[in-house]
Amino acid sequence: MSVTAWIVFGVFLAYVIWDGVRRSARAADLDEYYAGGRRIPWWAAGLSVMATQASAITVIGTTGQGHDGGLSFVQFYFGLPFAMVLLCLFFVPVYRRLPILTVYEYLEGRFNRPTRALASLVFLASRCLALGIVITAPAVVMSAMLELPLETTIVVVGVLTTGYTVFGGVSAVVWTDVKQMAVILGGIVLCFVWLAVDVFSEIGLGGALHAAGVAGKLNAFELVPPSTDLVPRLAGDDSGVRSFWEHKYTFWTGLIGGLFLQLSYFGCDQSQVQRILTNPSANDSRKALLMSAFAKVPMQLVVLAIGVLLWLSHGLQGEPMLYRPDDRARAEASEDREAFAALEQRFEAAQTERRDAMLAVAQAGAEASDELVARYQGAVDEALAVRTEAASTYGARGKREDTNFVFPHWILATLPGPLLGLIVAAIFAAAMSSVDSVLNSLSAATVVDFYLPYVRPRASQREAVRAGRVTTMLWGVVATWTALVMISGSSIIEQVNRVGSYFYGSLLGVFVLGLFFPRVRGWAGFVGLCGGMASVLIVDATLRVEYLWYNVVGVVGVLATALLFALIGGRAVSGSSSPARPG
Amino acid sequence: MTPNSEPEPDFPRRIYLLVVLTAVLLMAALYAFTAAYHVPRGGQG
Repeated sequence: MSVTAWIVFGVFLAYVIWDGVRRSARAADLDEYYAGGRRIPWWAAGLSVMATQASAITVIGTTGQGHDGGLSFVQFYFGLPFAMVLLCLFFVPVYRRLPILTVYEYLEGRFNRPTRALASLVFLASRCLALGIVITAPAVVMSAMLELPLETTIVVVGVLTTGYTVFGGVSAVVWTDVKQMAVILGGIVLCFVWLAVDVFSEIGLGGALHAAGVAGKLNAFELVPPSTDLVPRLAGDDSGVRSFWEHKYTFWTGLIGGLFLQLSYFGCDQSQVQRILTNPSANDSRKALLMSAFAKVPMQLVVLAIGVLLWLSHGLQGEPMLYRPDDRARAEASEDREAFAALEQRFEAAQTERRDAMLAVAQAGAEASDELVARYQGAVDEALAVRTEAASTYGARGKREDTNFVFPHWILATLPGPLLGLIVAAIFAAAMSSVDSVLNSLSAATVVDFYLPYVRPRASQREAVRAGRVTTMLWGVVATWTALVMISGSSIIEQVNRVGSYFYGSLLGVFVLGLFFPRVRGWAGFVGLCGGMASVLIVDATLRVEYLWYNVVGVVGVLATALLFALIGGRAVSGSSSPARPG
Repeated sequence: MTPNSEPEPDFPRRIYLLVVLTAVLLMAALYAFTAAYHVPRGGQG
């Protein structure tokens, strides 16, 4: 990166940290530290909600996904607007009626303290491990861009984000998220316009649409799934065709599985719910959520479109066979370099053929002959086949990892200094805005759900805030350490994280139970939560089902187990009590 | 620790309707767009 790019990037980082730390004076009690004194305006909380969800890997990975897979990933978000409406109608009024600081406090009043503790524990375990990935994944790319060691990049993200979150609490999180989201949105719009001008000036809008469409990149809506076989295959069964439940990005998975996932994420995950507890009123909380309902799908569409435009631009101007710089250097230095050179020649030929056919398809538009279409699609397939072969043979982590370097490669090769600095700042901002929210929410769950009820029930406000700061710092250390451990690609942690993400549906299930089954009380919530998690683990171990459906399985598992338990007498066991609070 | 003890006016239901309508229209537009330009086959490159 040039000096100008470093200056722009550095100024942004310094401003964000100063802005976060200067809010520390106000965070004098827990309500200030974890709920911003309930004074945060709805638009700021709404932007913070969006910034938390838009991690750096969203910016880097989603553009790469658009480049290689087209627009199909947008369907993943189809359930989101409907989830937000349901949350506003049924969840928000209940949460805002209670003086809660964590969403799990609701479960204590509704069921009992063990249910609250278990739900909070599930959140802490799964979020902490996921946080490692949120730091590691973009750090891999950012270290290559900034030419810094990976460990240094991870520590910089971890320490800086932990620093301002420790001091400023949720106010620092929200107000830095606002600036970070502005930079992210600015960066997205800038890249989209830049690439659109670049591509359209060469083949026009109509030509671009035909060239991308024939290549299979404009698959934004798949109503009929590739398989309508509703009988799931057993785990380990590779025979026959994939069932309906194994397709990740279709209209139905996005609408139904996505609806349950988004309900759980925005309605039962402390890292998101905490944001809507910071507003002055329930209606402000609703507005904050509905901001995402309107903006998220179009935003994802634009990010994916950047990937498609990038693919067209690469088709016209050429692209490297391997995007990850160190993979290429390793291949060229290896004993196998002659085979690598031969593969590169094959890729060059495929690229030339793809470019010629792309120009012809763009010019012919809808009139393109079947022969031309077949020739173009053949060239597209050949280029992909060679890239995949190169990435799996010479890449450190295969094709998926190489895809994450597509967007960084383009910005480094194309954008001038100040704009490059802005985009790198946007990627950093996306990483920090996700990490800060999770750190603050992990601390809230630790202090409010465990420290105050079980360790120091009579703690003063000052003590409680100090505990909040200490736990934020500890979680920051744990998250940075987890991220550092993940560099080695430890399969154990990834496996644990994968399993942790399966508990989302069960968390949603216990809240649905609380909101819609008023006669089910006491231990039924705890037993239901255990039953829901067991159901997901059983399905995971026995059937081949895409993970989005686990959210539905979890909800059904919780309801079935809890209702059965209540039916055989568990309803009589009531254990509700008042939440512990500092004096 | 008292988030909203005062009663507040009902949230206008028409905003929910607007969200749902916008989402449905966006999906319909994406359906039409896909039908117009996407050529369904396995080619990804």
